Amino acid sequence: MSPIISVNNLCKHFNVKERGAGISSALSSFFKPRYRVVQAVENISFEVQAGERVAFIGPNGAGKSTTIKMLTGILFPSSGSMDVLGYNPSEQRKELALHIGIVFGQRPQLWYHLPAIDTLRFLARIYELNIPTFTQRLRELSVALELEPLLNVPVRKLSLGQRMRCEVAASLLHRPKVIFLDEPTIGLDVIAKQQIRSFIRELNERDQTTIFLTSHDASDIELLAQRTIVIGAGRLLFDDSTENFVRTYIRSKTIEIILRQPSAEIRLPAGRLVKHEPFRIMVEVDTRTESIESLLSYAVNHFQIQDINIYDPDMEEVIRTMYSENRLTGSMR
Amino acid sequence: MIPLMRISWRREILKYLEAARISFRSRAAYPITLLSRLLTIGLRIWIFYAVYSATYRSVGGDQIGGLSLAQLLWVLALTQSFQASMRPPSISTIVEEEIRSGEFAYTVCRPFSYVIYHLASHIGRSLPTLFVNVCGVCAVCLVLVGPISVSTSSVGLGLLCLCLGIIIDFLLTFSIGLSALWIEDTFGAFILYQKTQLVLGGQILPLTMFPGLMRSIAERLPFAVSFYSAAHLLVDFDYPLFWSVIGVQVFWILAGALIAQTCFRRGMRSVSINGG
Repeated sequence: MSPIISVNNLCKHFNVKERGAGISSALSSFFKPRYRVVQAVENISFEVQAGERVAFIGPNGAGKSTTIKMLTGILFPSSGSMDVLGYNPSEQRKELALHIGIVFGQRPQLWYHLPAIDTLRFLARIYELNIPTFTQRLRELSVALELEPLLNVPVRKLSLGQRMRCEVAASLLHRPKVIFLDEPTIGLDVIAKQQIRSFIRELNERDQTTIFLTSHDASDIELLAQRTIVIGAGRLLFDDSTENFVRTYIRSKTIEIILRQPSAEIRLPAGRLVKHEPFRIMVEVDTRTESIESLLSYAVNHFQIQDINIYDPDMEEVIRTMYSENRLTGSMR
Repeated sequence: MIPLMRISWRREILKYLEAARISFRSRAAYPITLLSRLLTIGLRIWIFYAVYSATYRSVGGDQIGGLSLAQLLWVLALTQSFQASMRPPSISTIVEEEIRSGEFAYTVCRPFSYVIYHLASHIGRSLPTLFVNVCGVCAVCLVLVGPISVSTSSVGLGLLCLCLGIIIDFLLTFSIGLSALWIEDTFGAFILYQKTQLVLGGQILPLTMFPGLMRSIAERLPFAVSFYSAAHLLVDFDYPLFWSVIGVQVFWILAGALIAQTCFRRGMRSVSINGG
């Protein structure tokens, strides 16, 4: 089976203008500008098969968004080649646009002063959907994302989570074969994240839609992706199953316990005490060898708890671990 | 590979009509804003009336540069209302903001022409303001100087010139906005364009009052044929003037389209949206 996305030795560099502080620097920069070359993406190659759910992750500045923007035709690569659904995104952006969907979590596409239904009708026309197809698709999306009460409310009056559900619906209205999701759950609460994740998963399982996702949220990756590609400083570092990635690198959770009464003495049954303040304790647990349950039951029995939060390690931390342990072997590139 | 689809012109046109429709609805959502802009135009017309009444009195004739006081006020009022309907926000600000905010990434990834989509949106966005402004300035002019005689054909051909003028103004300001893909701030370039349009575009002094050489230069530049020429033809129609205006407009539409398309193509090659 031929891949649906194929990337070969893709590179992208940006020329970033540099200028010192002060008026003299501003003047000299005007007459003789100096540029620094930033290698955003450096010689990456990978393939994605139809129906795969791929997480494309890395720390800030790793080149994730740049790669997505090249794959969707927004940015032109400096060198290398790519193929998405048989199209060259740089040369056939408009043709490709009919078959792909894009969600940029931090960028709105809905018309701010109008109800979401207006944007959806506009997009139906743009993506050349006829009225029965649009009506049926809208019904499906409304049920899956619980949009019914939101559609006729001006977008400016929706909460972030509600708006994001409408944004996702707008990107998927035309039944794209591939969906590029750039931080789709950023800033959302737990319930909204859960809704978006289960919808994306369902979409993949039911329609065989290919999912290409970037996220800083380790839970997005664990719950959504079958395969994980890690990119760091523009280079491909890891390309293997998500199960393998999680087992090898997402092996700790940080538990924050907020106390009602200060506690002086702590003897933890599991984990490493990271922070101990009068009303707050933070413990890091190695999930391969230690049990979160035992820690929580200890906390419930010994403290008066006001709140408990569980955090995944952030992606910067994971990549640092990958480098520091020098495990760039096997499936690592 | 998915087979290439044949372009259906009907579907393509419907896309741009839809873009115009949604922009129209978005602008019409705030009628108070539309009316508040009309107040500032009304004030400007009243100032023109006071200034040019004194000028006509001091000169002592009924006409200056072939226009009576009533015609001159109607020309200036219509020119002002046309220009004010296209901004704020100007299309250059909209495009620059789209590039800065990253919304550009969504728009260029849609199956339509980026330039024509923005033209359609610009027209849709401007129509509610244009309607309110033209009705408003007509009322003000009727009160200040009374009606002027116009024919159906002069209105029709004047409106044709207005449509072409709107396209010229769009193409040039759109190209200024697209320059945000290279330069840090396009505001300076837009202000330069706007001020040149104010002086050479007949917005405060009709071109008929310009000295000979300056007038013939101004008549060939894009600034006057954007809005002033249409206003002049609506008020004082003249076939030789109409054909001359159409010729200049066609030239500037072709030149503007070439500039806008080149800016977009070259800009796309140098887009540097680094980071999320």
